[in-house]
Amino acid sequence: MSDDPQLDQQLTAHFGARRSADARRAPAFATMLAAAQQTVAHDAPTSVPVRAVAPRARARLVLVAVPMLAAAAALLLMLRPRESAADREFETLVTEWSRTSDVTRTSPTDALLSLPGDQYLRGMPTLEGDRLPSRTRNSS
Amino acid sequence: MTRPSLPASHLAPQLEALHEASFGWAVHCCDGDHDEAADVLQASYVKVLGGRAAFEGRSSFRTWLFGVIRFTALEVRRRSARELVLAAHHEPSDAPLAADEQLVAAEEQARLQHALTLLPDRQREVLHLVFYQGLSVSEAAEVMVVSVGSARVHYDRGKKRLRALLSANTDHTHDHHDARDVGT
Repeated sequence: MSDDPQLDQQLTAHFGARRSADARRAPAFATMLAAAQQTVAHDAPTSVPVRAVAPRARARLVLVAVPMLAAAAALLLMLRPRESAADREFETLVTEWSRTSDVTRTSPTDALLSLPGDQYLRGMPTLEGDRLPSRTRNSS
Repeated sequence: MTRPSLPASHLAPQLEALHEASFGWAVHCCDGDHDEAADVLQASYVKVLGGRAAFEGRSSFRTWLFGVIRFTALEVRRRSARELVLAAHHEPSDAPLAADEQLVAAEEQARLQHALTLLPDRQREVLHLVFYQGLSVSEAAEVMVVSVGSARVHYDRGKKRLRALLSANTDHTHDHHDARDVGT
């Protein structure tokens, strides 16, 4: 504030004059305070009934919500697909057929998988001397 | 949610002590509209007394109250959607032209007032807080909700620009007077 004393002085004088002018036009504090207190007192009760009313509103909500939930549950029960005895029997037959057909079923191309000597592929070969192929014994 | 920080019996004396300064600040926040400033100050008192604005002692009471007034003025102005009109009081020009000294002083005041209206809001605000309200720059920063560095920049630039505006205006006035003298 000291880099330009002349400007500072000018500003101080200017704002000082304005401060005096504003002070003359300022409304009385007592009047404003009384009005503010009155407004606060008037606004205050509005916050109290909100709590008093709240349980009543909740009860009203329950009265509306419970029948609505009951109606929705009943509607769901009515719309649920019913399983008849014939459906259950059909389902049992299909399940049984699927289980047995996995074991017994043969297809026309199954013969292609039958190769000569494929029995050796289904288990571990035994390595006893008598049973080894003769070609192996001659080569050694 | 209301949370009164201080009872009204404690608040009232503090508000009263700052009433004139608060009104002056409200006038500034309302761009010189005294009626609107009274409404803003009234609304601010309601907030303070009703506990909607609670003083928590993190700054001085005055700084806090000025902040409340500032934001209340913004609220009120936004709500009323009034045009922001830069107040250009030329009160000194209404003064009687009895003496040359009075005339010169009035002209200077008018030029300064006009130059102030040409400053950006932030610069004018910090100059008001410092020179009208007598706050320090750091206190002004709290009211303006800016950093001290930022307030300092606004303060320095405001004065620099004000100086430039005043000197340009003076040169222009002198030229005008010279031209008039030559003409006569």
